[in-house]
Amino acid sequence: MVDFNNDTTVTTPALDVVKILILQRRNDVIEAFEHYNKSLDFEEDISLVRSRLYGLYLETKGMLENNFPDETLKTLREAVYSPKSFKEIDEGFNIINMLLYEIKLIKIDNKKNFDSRDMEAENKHHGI
Amino acid sequence: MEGNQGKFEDTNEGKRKRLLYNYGLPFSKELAYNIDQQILRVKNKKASLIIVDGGIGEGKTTLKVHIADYINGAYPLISEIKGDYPELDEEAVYGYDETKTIKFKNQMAMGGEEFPKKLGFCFEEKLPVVIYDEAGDFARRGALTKLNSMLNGVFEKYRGLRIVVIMGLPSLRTLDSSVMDKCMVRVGLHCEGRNDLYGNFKGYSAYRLNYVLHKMNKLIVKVKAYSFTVPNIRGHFLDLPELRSEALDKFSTLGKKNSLRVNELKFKGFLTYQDMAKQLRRSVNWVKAKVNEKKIPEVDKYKNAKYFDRSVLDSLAEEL
Repeated sequence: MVDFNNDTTVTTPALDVVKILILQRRNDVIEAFEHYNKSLDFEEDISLVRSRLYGLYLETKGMLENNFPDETLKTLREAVYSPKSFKEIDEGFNIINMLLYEIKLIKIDNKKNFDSRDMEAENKHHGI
Repeated sequence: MEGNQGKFEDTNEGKRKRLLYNYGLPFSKELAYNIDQQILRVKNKKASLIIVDGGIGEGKTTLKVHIADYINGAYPLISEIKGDYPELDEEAVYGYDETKTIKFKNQMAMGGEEFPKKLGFCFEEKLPVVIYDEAGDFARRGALTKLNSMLNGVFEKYRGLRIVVIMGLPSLRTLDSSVMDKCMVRVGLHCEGRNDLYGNFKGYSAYRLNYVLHKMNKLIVKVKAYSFTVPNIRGHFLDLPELRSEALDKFSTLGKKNSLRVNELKFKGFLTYQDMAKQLRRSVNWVKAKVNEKKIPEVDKYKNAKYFDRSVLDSLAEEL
């Protein structure tokens, strides 16, 4: 977790701290997913997954409302507040992931692919 | 090499010489696609210089003429429904329009002196391509430095010409770093290993050409640098139709002849008015006046230039 008593954190811009917090919350959800899958054989408890998703939802709520239409948000709210099954939680997590990808927080596949036979594309790619 | 179905099929003692591939072009489609990109580039008022290099007799001039013909519109797409941004289409078939092939007289410059003139002509006539052939400069000392400064000048002043320039050089090393740094060169084609049936080329983007040049500076055998950099494309090209080949030879030889004649006169030690003026540190007019005064006859004459024996210098030196 982010240590707010650490001098380094205090001097870090709030934007960067929030970014790390979101990524940590996302990682927590993934861990809960793993735990849920591991214990599927003897119990089907979605409470941990649901609460972790709730935490991530609260962290990203403002951005979600700015970026997604009401219909999508409705699905997400249902997944967070009153999920009937694991599948609904999974869908909710996917919506948040979509947002994180769009705002480039988890977008790391930036490398442009081009046909190497296209010389002009290669020139442009290397800024020539 | 299967199915000689080109339009220029030529029978020669029972042997057929293939002049077009089945899809209607004399060179590979990947090259056509890359030339299309250059055409789009000049349409957007950006400079485009295609370099064709290779040893003597590897078919540089033939490839240059093929590419120039293509840019000039001699090979229109049969479907002609291509958009502004063509994609590499394996099924594309090209036609041939002989009337749209380039005119050597107007669009082919033999040497640096002719190049700006031909470029100007193409601009006025709205022709999309001009060839610079090194043949005219092949025996001139200092021509390479002039070539680089001319290229810089031409491309800096005439960016909006909308003309693709195809330049033939014996080696890529002729170009200095300023030409490469200014990103004028977009495509480099290296010709090698030509045989009776076809010529071979390797195509390099400007990005890869920089690596080739870097490697060339380090190696003892300069040509070997091409085998250290993987080309973007490899391909073949076919010969020109017989009549066109003859016309090209005639035109090319004329350029070389002029240059050879001048070199021959210089080798004999003959001097022009300009040469004498330079050595005597006097004006050309002064030299002309003194030569006329002394009624010294010229020993040779070539293209309006009079050539005098070296002994004239001594007699003019007495007048100083």
